Amino acid sequence: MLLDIENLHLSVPTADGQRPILRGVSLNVEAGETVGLVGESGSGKSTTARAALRLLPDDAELSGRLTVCGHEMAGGDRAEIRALRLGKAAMIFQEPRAVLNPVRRIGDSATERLVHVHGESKAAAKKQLLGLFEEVGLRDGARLMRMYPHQLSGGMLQRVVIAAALSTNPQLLLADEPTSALDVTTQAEVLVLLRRLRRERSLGVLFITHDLHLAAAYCDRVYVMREGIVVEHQPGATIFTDPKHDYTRALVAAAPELPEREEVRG
Amino acid sequence: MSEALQATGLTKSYRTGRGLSPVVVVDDVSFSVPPGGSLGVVGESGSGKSTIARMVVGLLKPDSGEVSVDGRKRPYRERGNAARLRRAKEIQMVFQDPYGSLDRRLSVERALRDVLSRLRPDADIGREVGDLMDRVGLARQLLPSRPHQLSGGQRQRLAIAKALAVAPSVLVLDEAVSALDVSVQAQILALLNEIRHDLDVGLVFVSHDLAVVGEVSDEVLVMYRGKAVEHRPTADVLRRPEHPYTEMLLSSAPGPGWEPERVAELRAKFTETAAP
Repeated sequence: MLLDIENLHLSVPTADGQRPILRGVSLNVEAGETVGLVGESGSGKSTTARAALRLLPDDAELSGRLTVCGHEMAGGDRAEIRALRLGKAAMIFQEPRAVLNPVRRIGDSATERLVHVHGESKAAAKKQLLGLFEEVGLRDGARLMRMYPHQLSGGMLQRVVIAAALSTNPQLLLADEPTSALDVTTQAEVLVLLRRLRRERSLGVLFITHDLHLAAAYCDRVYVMREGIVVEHQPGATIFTDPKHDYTRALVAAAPELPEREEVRG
Repeated sequence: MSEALQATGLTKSYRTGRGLSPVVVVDDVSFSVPPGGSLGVVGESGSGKSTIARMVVGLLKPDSGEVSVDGRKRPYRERGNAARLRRAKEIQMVFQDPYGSLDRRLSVERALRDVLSRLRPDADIGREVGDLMDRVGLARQLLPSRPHQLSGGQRQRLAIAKALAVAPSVLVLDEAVSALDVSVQAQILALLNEIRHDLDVGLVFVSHDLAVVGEVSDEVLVMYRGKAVEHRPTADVLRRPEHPYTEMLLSSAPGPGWEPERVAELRAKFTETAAP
């Protein structure tokens, strides 16, 4: 099990006492599968992913069991957590423009992990990145590395960030709304890429999205979250056609749908 | 009866650098919206849909073409308060991120009072504020709240209320529901339909999301590389797309039977055949 969360509670202090964010979340991700985590703003889906890497404020209170690649993250010591973050797991976000420094060249940003954390030489890191660029479908990598983020489209930038995330060969990829800022067509291209990478590298992918349509069509299994609680867990294939929980049903009903298309006339 | 909005031959191009030929981002696009009607403008990033919205509102001056509201040509060049007031009363705009258009220091009440007192000084402002709150479905208890105390949906309702304060003939919405959760999105779409039918406001609804456009538009204009490739009643466009680009956009949205691999294939084929 790459990611195993059991009965996770998380609260943060506010002016009027501890505020619960996660209230007994349990979920898991195996190698080679894409698991969807769906919910609306404030449901706790991003916090769950952040908790998995312990990217939490210092004063957050955490209880429950949380392991990444078999290592305890909830109570583990700092060195171990850091090592896991650096090697075994990686996270990508909705807005690659927020991740990449706008005044640094793509090549410098994308090799940051390799150079500054893993101590590789710049030349070796860039050579490795060239290979990764090719793997994620970016052509003309050498030229790309000298460019700045504003010169690339959102889809290309997301590929750059994915390549950088893969640079340390993670087993678990936490993807937080990775395609929500993209056009539907570009979204499909990035999803094809993520699916191929998952297959070729046997990655476990936790795919966070607000889009139930997308989760149902793309993920092997889907968890639906609301107010810090997992309210439903089903295979992607059935969650849209056979939602069990009232909240999932409400989400299905609220999602705008395209009408059935008629056969193209000859 | 005259149309609420009439746009004729809108064209805009940009120079991207010295010696480079200008890029035409909107190429001779015309459309009209009757009072209470709604036109959806869809397309991908860079298709020119936001540029159209900005030209209609007057944030951008078209290279050629013109915009009329209620049969009167819009005064782009006229300066001074009278012309500005007229422009404001003709067309109002709502953006994707209401945070960007709301002053975070002002309470809901102050925000609405400010607009009303500037643009409709002779109105009974206290009553109008209450009416606007009711109109957009905001509870009166929220009057003292500031933008950061509101939810995303409430903020967008406030932005709509501000736009409606001047009783405009046309409301332009640029990705106005794209950042909202689906349940909130459904409420705002219902509100927009109610507003246009009750107040006879013409809507121009710009969005990348065809399913959302389907909920709120009578007609759809599909933009591809600056050109309107399809412009027909919404149900026809969604059920029987005529242009292959529309067809591709429709099959791109996740739904039953959707496979990203197929979408990517279609897209690649389309880019090849359409490439100059």
